[in-house]
Amino acid sequence: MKKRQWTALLLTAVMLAGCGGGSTATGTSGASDGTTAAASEGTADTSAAAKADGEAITITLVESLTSPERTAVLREIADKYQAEHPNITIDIISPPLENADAKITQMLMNQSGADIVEVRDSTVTQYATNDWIADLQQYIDGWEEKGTLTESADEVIHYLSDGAYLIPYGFYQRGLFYRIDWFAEKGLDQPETWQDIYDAGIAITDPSSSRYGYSFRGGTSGYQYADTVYWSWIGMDQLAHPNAAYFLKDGNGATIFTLPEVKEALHFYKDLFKNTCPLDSIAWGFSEMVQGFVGGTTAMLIQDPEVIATCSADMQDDQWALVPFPKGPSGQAVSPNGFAGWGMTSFTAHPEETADFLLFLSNADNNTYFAKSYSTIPIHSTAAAKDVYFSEGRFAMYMQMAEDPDVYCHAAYPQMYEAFATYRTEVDMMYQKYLTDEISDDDLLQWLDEFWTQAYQDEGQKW
Amino acid sequence: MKQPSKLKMRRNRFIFFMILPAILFPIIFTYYPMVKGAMMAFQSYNLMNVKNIKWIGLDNFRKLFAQNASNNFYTTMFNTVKWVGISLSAQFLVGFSMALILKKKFKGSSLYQGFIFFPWAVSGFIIGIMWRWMFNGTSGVINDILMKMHLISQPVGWLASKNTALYSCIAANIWYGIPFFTIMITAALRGVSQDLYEAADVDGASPVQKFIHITVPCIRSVLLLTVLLRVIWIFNFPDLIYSMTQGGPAGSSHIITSYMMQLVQSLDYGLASAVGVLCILFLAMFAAIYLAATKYTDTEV
Repeated sequence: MKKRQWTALLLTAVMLAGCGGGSTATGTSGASDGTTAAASEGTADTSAAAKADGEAITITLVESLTSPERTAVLREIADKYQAEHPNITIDIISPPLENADAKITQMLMNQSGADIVEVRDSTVTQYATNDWIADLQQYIDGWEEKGTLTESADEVIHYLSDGAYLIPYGFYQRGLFYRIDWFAEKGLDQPETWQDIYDAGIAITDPSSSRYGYSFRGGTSGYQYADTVYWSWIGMDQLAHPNAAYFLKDGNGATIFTLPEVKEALHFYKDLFKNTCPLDSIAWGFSEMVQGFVGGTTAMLIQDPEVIATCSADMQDDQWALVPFPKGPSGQAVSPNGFAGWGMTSFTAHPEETADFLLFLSNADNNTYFAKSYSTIPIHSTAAAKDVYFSEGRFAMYMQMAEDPDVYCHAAYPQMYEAFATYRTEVDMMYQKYLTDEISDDDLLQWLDEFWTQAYQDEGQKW
Repeated sequence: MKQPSKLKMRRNRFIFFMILPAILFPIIFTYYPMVKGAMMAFQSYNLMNVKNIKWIGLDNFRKLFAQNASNNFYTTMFNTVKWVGISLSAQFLVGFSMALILKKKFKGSSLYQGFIFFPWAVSGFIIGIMWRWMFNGTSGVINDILMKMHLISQPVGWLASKNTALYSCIAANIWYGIPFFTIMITAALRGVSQDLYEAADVDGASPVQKFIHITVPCIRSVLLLTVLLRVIWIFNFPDLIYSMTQGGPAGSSHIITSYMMQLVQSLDYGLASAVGVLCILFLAMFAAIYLAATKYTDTEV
């Protein structure tokens, strides 16, 4: 009796332990990811088998910033290509957004299963350092559409100095959304500088009626906003390079975090948080920021063009407006030009055909259509001429900003450094400690300065 | 004799081949990955540069215990103790109480049981997102109710303040874990023979005496096992924290396993693996001490 009880108990324990462990495991990796993995493994094998000499070729494209609407657009473009090239089949793999990058990393480590992958500003360094994506320069040289590429597009193509690793499909350029009805109530003008934002924020903020001035991003990637404030204070002249904007020009690795203007800017950033934003916003990420604005809690929001669709759907047209990025005391408005694009894997079995499709995806017609459906800034300067969407309406504001490059500038954190991956996971916590008065401004600036000085010493100059 | 031994050999071989899958599967799918993963803890395994992987001994562990501004590991360990301790006690007490209610079947008890079991059936991440919006400082249901009950005068930023973030996550975890104890203990209680209670009634025992001297000893093995399993599972449950606060603000709500997830995202698999190794060591030690201290193996009815 005792032995049987013991065995039964043990068996139950083992089963329960298995079930319990299993639920967390699937929780973290996503049950749907399991099925997509099975499907993609299947297609990868069949595509390898289908590559007979000359005849049927399958090109596999893997997305990262997946959304059902976007996948449909890609499918349309792929079908057009397939119609012109009957022997080529394009397979589009769309993993769920949360773990798509992890999935792409796995495929690249396995050196199989993908011909084109979506390369983002945050992943291009990793993929290129590990020799997972190929240099496209030779294909771009022979491309008839390379003449109409915008300056930003050219910069991104040569983001890493040792090769052309991706062709961008669009830019995520932030703009300032604000509540024109609330501003009218208080008799305020359109905000054009950071100081305007602060002053308007003070006038509007009223905790008792749940109204606040600004949608603060204190959660993931909040540091990006602090950076734009620093750059708008110090201006572009002192920066070593737009893509490595933490370092000073001719500074041999000296960082901007030692400048007095940056300290001033940091104080402004904290005052903005304390006096015009809801306390909650220390933990706000993308969805909370947007929800805060669209839901009527905050009066101002700085975000990407994809928010245009949300605002149009959930708010009346006369309630909100989209205006250029705010300027700082330097007279310049500096923001990162987030990008993503398509790269070709270094192990693809059909580089010629894959590159051909990649360039097809990126030509003026297809890219403009894609950018319009997806709300990004297109890469060809002919876009405004091709489609009124880009020359009129809400989106026109971005084209205007592009026409005044002395005022509206781009700068970015040095993502080409390997240390950036660690930085990205620690920095938001440091800012939160500063904003909640756990550490002082000097502590934070010292940490930033030491981190990037060390990174420069370890990895050298990478721009 | 030749004949019986040949038969015996064939039978033994048959048994061996039948058992072989059961031996191979854990080795291939559990122990081999575990060993490989543990090896990463002693390497500089960073996905940013896979060409640069080399053996670095205990450096990853030294990094974890380093004393500097951006290292939160000591707070994280303390948080983990709070997370497991408070969640477990509350889940156990409430679960046990509900089990005592469900001990006798009443009208609608099956339906009631179904409702109680609901939280357990939903994914941890989804529960986290649900509670995250409930605890939202400006538009959350919890603030709304508390204000309407005049318990607070201004909305509280539950997930935004270092003092309340971890405890908000613990509250959600308690809600999540009650069903498991309820179901297990109800089943155990229903297995206790009624004769014992009747005999106790004849002897004039009070309900409390019956509880302490009959109920608890009878279900002791189930109680001990469920507590041990729950300690391990709660320790390994970062889903809620990850979706509610991502360990913030300022790392104040990180537990060891959610911190490990963050490290995986930073592509530093070596450091993440070092945390994992520490987790295994701690849990193994805990289980061994627990089973010895409670003399679990000596349990008999």
